[in-house]
Amino acid sequence: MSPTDQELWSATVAGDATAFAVLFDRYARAVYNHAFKLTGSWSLAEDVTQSAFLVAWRRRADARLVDGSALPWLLVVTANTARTESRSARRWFALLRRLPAERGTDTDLSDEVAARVDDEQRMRTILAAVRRLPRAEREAIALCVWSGVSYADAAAVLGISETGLRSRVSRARARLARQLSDDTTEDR
Amino acid sequence: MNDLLTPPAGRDLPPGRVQEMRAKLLADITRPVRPARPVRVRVGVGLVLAGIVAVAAAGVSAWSGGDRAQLLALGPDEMSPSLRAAAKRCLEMNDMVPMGSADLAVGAEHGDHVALLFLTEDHYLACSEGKPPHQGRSGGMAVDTDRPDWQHDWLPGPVDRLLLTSTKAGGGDVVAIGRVSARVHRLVLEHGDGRTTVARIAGGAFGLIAQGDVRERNSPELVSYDSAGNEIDRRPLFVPFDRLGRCYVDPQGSIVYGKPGPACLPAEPWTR
Repeated sequence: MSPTDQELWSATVAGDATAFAVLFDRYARAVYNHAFKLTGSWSLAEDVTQSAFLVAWRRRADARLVDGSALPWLLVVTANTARTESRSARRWFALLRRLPAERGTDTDLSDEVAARVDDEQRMRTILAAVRRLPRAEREAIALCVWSGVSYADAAAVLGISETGLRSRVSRARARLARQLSDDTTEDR
Repeated sequence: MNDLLTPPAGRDLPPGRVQEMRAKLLADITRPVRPARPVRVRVGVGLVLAGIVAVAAAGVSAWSGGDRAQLLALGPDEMSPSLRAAAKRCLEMNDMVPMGSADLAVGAEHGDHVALLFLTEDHYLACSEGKPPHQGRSGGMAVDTDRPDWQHDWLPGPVDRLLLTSTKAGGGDVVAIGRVSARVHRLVLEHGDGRTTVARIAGGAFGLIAQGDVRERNSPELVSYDSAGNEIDRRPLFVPFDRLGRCYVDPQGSIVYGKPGPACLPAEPWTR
């Protein structure tokens, strides 16, 4: 049976890098995708992921596991890392396609690259709207709506009430709906 | 949530990257802290291309030619062809603030990494760009609209770092660019291991390229000196302003930067 997050984190806090590596394996994909949603760049998301886990290691004693899961706290660390290391919630972009090493010329990989570029364009459009929200609301949307963390877990790790968090998400949705409506009107 | 705001589906990390990142992470967290090294004075090897001024200030900032050339340009007239090309890409990608190539305040180039800062009376635009081996070019940009408290006429103390890039998580080769007040005569990065790098300052802007594994864990600091050589400010390089817990007020006592606190410091005017 695989060790629980709590067991792994206890070992991590005691300085066990191997246990932390297991947590990395477990959550790297989730952190990577969360970082992408915050930055709009797949390549930057890699950098943020790398940094977020390093920050998480350094702050391991401060970790706050929620219902035995390290993921909500890791995603909060990721958001802070994206904001800090990615130069404070600034808009990032991929100037050109990132071409992984040792790529062949087969169609599947070309499609993959093209799809990632499409992802970035789409995400940048979304971030352009979301960026107009207050930071707390942006984080609430990213954590609860985009990355699927439950309201209870997100509230616990953010240190606010679940009601407060729901209010943030609700306000954010309302603002975004208004923005979209205004933008549509302007486009007419 | 409106479909227009539904993000793209999740993806796996590129093949091989998980293993690379895992290995690097383990290397970073298990590497012993190196003892402080003595100050190493690196005599600059001048690389002078047409129109490029590279200054090895006080003999401690290295400027070497060859494959890993480092260039620092203060103003559009000093840009190398590669900096100029990067500036063009940055401006083409910018659809947020009015900015042109003549507005370049600082450009820095180190190996495959470029950092640029454009400044006007109302806005700033910062770009960074890199091209890791075997990968495409990527980078990022920052504008004043992402930093609601930014003010053109005021600085949070003597120094306003606007862009920081590093080649590795937690450090590596570092490029920092930003603004300084008129009383900053000299700006030095203390690496925290005995080494220092002196920034280049001109027209209220500064730029520095620090080589040789600047480590966040060593708590490197930017230290400002006035013309008499007195230290007037010291702040961590890697900590963003909003985490310094500092506040700055104008002469009327109004908060300019930071949240109100019991001991706010004077904001400093910025002039070019």
